[in-house]
Amino acid sequence: MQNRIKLLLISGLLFTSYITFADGSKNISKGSSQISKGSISIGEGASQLFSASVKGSVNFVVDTVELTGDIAEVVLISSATATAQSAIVTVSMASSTVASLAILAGSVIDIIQVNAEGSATVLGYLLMNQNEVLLFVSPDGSSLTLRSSKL
Amino acid sequence: MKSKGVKILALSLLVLFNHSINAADKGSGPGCDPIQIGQQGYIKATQLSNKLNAYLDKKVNVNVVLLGRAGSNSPSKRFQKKVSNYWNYTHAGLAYKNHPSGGWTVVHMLNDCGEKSSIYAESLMKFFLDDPFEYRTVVAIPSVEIQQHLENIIIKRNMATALFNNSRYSSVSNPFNTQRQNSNEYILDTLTTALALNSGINNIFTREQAKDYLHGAKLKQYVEPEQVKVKGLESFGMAFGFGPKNATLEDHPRSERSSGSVNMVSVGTLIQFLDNAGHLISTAELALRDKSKAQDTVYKK
Repeated sequence: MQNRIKLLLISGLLFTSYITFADGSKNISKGSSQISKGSISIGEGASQLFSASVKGSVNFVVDTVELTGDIAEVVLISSATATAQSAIVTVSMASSTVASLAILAGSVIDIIQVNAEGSATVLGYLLMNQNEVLLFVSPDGSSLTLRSSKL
Repeated sequence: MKSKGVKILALSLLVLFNHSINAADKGSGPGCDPIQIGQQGYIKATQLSNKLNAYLDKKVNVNVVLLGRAGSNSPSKRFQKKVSNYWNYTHAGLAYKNHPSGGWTVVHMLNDCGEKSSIYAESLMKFFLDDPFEYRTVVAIPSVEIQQHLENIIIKRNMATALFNNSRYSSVSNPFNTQRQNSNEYILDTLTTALALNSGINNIFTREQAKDYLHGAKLKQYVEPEQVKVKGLESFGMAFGFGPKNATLEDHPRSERSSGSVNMVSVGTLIQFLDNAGHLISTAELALRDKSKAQDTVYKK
């Protein structure tokens, strides 16, 4: 009888896994799910840096964070000193986004250019901090956004 | 000696069962624990949604499509019937070109945790930003009249949540009753309401009424459910409340439970349903050249 109970308990533990035959979990972490609202301006020097980068990834430092009402403008400058003057990226977004993502002056941000598959067409940019995606920003007029609303 | 035998048996079951469950849910992530999508996941979701968007924009007079994504690795041993060519897509949504959210918008059900779920309106990119097992998608285009009825139901009448009606979620919900509902059954209920409108029936406002119509109008004959193999031990465990948080067999008849095979709606079922009802124009599959799962997703427990 005891053995049966043990077997039942062990099998019970096994069933605590999840079965997702019809999947669709709402389980994206909060930090990365609220991104994508905003616009991005890539300076000429920064554009050249992306072109020259093998993986399309360039290291930047947050130079200024300016808040005007609900809008935040974040200016990032390439950490490569030789191109510092022109290698600027400006990202505009909601002030609340800046606050929630804790984007502070002096933070080191990697910006990754996302191209269409097998193409030079730029679809957007990923702003990353310590290997974590902070923000996805697509060029003006792009249909690629991260809209999501619970009905 | 007897005790040692039981331990060996239990450990064997542990190994076997874990293997089978992992094969079923690998890639979709657990329902209650958050996941963090990495760089690869973002890049792949961006590229696939861009590809899909370009495909849809080329289609003239197409305003509503059924989309399927390969959320998890549906093992061929689990899905016994393999309904249609698209049986191995695990999650469906209906995408609306003229949705008030702007641009192509997917309206679909997502499991929040356990038996709780919600209806979401999301961009194409967000649809693929859920750690799919593979970056591929199927697009099924319904007949023009069904597209118009779907727009009427979801956009003009704003019935997206009514067809959900705070249902209790089960990933293996029975398509033929209203005790539970999963994401694909939600789409079946929506398509059923569109078919009703096409027959001049315009007094369906809830999923319960949609289900009544499915039975009353004999649309059930068009539903070819997927048959999911459930092992005796799993069925036994679920009966004792040891089951996974987002699945139950309580809404399935005893005959299904005892046979070890339960009915559910797959993406293949939905596409076949449209086809059987004479309302499928075309299907297409799109995939990234490297469709493999993103390797940098972080699962937080």
